[in-house]
Amino acid sequence: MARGARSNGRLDTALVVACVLAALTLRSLAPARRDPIARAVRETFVAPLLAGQSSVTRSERALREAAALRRATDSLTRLAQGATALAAENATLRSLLGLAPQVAWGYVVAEALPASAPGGAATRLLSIGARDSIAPLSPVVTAAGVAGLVATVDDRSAVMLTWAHPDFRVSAMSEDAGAVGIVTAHASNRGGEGLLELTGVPFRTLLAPGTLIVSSGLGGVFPAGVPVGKVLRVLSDEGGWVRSYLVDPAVPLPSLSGVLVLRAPRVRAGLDSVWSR
Amino acid sequence: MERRTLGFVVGIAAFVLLDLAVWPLVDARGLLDLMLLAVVAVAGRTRPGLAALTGFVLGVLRDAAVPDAFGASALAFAVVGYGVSRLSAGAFEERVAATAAVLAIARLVADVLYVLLAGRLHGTDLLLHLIWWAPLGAIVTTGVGLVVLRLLPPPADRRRGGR
Repeated sequence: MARGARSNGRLDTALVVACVLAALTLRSLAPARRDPIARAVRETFVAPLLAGQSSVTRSERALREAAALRRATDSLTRLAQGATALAAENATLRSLLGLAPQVAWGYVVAEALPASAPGGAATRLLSIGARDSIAPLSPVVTAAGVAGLVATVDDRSAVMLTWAHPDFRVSAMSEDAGAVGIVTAHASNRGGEGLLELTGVPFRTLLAPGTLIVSSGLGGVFPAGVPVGKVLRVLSDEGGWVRSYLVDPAVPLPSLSGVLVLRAPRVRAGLDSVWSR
Repeated sequence: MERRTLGFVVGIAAFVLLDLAVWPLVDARGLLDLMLLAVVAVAGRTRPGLAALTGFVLGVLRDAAVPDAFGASALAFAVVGYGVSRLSAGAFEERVAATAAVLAIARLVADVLYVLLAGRLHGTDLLLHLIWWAPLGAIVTTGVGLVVLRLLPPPADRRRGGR
């Protein structure tokens, strides 16, 4: 009896030690080795759950948009009855439909699904994957502007780095192209509700609060002209050579759900006229 | 499979499904950890080794959605599963105060281990998480856990040998 208990105790200890060692090994793996394992788990066990999550998100959005659709229906009814101000009504309906018609081609619509882990707002799972012809570093945008970029792509899902992720970078400029710099997540980000930083702006260029910052197109990841955020204030002036600015993000992450992932040909063709409305 | 065991397995599966598929959509700042409740429920009814293994597997499932912290939840839940099973001796769900204490400590330990291993928070954000969000999460998870753990069918035999 006592020998059996000792044997069970040893088995328990061996199991917990094995689990801890396996977890530490997974944690210390380089991304090139870690990502295939994470991808395998996602594709086998988590993918069906993602499909469910995607359905729940779509249903929730459908409920939220019911009022907008009702308004659109009312507008259509009025239009049919009166047939007046046709162009103005048309513009209203187009704006209700969102960004997709402006982009017109070369994009995929996706759900950006949040992760449940603490600090998970820095990454999102996208409900699309390699089957939809997206690739790592594809830009992710919304009608408001830059949301993030695709980090890794699986067959049916993808991992997106939101702008709150420490590794996120976008080459940016002021709307008048007078100042160019790099936008990164501000160090105080927590839970994706933080701010952005525009760094490396030449000291002689002073940006006023409220200045719109857009992607510059340099680097080839984001096309030029996508809104990134608005300048809040000067953050620092490092040694009198360059300034950093605190930027209020254009895309609030807590409400992020439907996004557009731009394919490479669309990025190369540019999106100059889409956000400059 | 015994009906009671089947009910328990279905309950745990429901926790995992809710945690991975539905709960992330609720903007609750991660205060309620349903996966941890699943680990604690299993740990309260199984041997420490099996509890650690369950925690590890559920942690890997969660980590798959956040690849840059891969392994952090697995380690945190394995440690919590082992610890809860070892300390609770299988009878903690019968006493409310003991259940509350186990849930709160389990959540705090899992949260602190995850945050330290994931390495996403630094400086004042880390401090704020440890002194404010982690205890708040422990309170919320404990409150909900006291209710939902009672919904699971009780184990066939709480007395387990070999501890």
